[in-house]
Amino acid sequence: MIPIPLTSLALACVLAAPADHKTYLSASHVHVGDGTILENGVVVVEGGKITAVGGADLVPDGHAVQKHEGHLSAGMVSLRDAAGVGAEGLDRTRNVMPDADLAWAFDPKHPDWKRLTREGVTSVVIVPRSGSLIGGLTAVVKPATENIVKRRSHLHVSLSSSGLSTLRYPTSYPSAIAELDSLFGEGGGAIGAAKKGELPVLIEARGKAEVQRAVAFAKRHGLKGSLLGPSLAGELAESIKASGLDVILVGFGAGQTTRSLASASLLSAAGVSFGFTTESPGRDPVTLRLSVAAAMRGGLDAAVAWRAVTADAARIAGVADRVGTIAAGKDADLVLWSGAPTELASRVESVWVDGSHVYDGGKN
Amino acid sequence: MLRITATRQVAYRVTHRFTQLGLWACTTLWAGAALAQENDWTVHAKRVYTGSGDVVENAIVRVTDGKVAAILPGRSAPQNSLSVEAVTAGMIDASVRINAGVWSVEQSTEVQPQRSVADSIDVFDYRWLRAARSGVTTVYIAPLDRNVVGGTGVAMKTAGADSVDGRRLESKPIVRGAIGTDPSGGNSAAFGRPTSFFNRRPTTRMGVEWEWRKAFYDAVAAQRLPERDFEGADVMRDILAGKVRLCIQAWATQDIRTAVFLKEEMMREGFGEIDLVIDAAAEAWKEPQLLVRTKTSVILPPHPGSGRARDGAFMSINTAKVLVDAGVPVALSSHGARDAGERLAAQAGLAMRGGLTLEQALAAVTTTPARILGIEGRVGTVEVGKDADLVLWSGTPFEATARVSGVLVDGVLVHDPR
Repeated sequence: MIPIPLTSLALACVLAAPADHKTYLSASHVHVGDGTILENGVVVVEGGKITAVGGADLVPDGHAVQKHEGHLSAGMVSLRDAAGVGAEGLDRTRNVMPDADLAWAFDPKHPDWKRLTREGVTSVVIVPRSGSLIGGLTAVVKPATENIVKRRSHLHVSLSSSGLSTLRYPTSYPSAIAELDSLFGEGGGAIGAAKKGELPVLIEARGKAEVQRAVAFAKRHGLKGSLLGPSLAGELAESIKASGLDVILVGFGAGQTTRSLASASLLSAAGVSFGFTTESPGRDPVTLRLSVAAAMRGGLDAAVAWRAVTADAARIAGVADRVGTIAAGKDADLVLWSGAPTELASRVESVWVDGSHVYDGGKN
Repeated sequence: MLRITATRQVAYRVTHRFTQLGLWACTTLWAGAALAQENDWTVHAKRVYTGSGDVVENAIVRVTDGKVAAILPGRSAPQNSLSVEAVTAGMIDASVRINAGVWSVEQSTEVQPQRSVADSIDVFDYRWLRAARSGVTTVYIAPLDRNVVGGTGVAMKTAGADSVDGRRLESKPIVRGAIGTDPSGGNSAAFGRPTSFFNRRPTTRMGVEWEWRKAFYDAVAAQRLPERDFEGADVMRDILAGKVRLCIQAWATQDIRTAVFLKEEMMREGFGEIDLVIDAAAEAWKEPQLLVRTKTSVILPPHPGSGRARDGAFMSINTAKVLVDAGVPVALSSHGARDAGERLAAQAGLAMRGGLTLEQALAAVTTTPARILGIEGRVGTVEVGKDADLVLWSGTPFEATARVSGVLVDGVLVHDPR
């Protein structure tokens, strides 16, 4: 790897290529994101975007190339993290706020984001905190470059006990479902958009019975989107597949149960896409890689596991046109690893977001 | 399943050894029998307690497609049959608490007869299998008793499809409520939690009784005065019209009396005749004539060894006997208890210790709860055409040394006696 002269991370942005200037990055292994790995691949970056991906022939004669020993992948996508949102994610006075826009609570300067960047997580879906029936609108953000990739990316709805409180109506599943049915029956605003299929929903559902009710609810109202938090979703993979919903699993930890690990493989076998959150206990930013490794240990194919934190996650987040793979036209969100990214011992050595070099592996 | 596997292997071996000997057809038939549907069985028992008064000796019960297809007396056990000492119909528990956890209770209103408990049922709960394996094949899941009028319950099988609708039995609608300290005892006073709604709820027996009467009087008045209308008023009127059965939890004498007097008051006022069932009627033995007079059925809670039940009620060991002798329809229940000793089979045994005959005890866990739930057309007896919900016993049912050795629900073996 060519040493990059940096005095501080803040200055890292100067490395961003000028708009009329191409940067050529090469790495021993380029994980494109569709399962193929280019040996000694070259990625051309211009104006914060990837303009070409291929071999050494992409580099014009005499042009400088940043050569890296190691593995280059797309930046990972966390499907739920609320670092830098904090207590703003939940309004305790009202539990139905379909048009509340969480993007207003996005604080890109919050120090917690840096931990995600350093672990190769470049895009994050910020989701209202659990505790409401309808928490509001999510957003997809890139904390490292302070960009909001997509506002109003989903409508957060809860059919989980985590959306209930014993201190205010509704305190029970039957009433919550009756209330949601009534709200979705009326439509209007964000709810109306969700019913028309224009706005995907994130339906919080954890236990299997909650998943059953969530799937039935989505079917009743013609909703598209994802189930959020169902650790045993794989055991209901057939009905989830039939509903067309995707699944967002809470990131796996070291002590994950074999049932929930097997669940990921079952989802994959049934053809259900899934991704992970970084909101595991302790909110450890290494969660996404732990999830990949744990799912692989549970029998999941490595390529599928890696897609779950990149391409599939980007599609579930609704930003597949921007992030998740290394392809021409996508944002230049790149992570350089010391070894294979699915290997837990591999370190993050560099991170680029929107073409800006935002992390250099802690060398400066 | 072990037996089937063994038979399949034998069939496979035989097929391959003797095909050239021309036994192909014979072995195919054999394999076909072993590969029959999982809800087809031949059960043989020394005694089949049908529940309609007969005990059929040395009988074969043939189960086809989940239903009882034939009961053939005086047979010896055929090969590949499930052979046991005794068979009864699957037991029916009209008062269980599976899945009815905290999130099944809507605490914001005291009266909510229109609310169904169905959306709070978790068919994946491990307690379903536990109930099924203990011989309970049908249950009535009701709202917990934290509300005055808690809502409508669901009668369903303890095993089968992975969905509430798939296990549900068409029954007469039953609204469940409570009288006593359950809907009032845990409520906070007006102090303490100004942001919550707990200060609205009754905190005394008087308050609970007031809520009941207000609900009925408002429901009737709402037909003329729209300002008295409330959500669920139509269901309260259906209760008065006898279209919806009303099950009220009342442990102690004073609460049983309140329930019965409520029914009589509604009749006196000309509002209608409530089809009343009292659940957890631990002290019903004190005044059985009140129940006879008002044609009230009762569901009894498990007998506590000390006799001391909840709400200060004392349950005598001969409670079921006194009520059955008086002519009151009596169903036994576990009332959601989890201890093996409080499960339904053990309760039938205790009721026999209190004086019931085997036939009466059997009725109290099968046919009587089936009638209380309005599902007697499908379950409760071992009868041709009814659901093949069968309990296979290792000895005489309900005896302390007899155990539930096998269970079929809709003809599917959920507990294998082999």
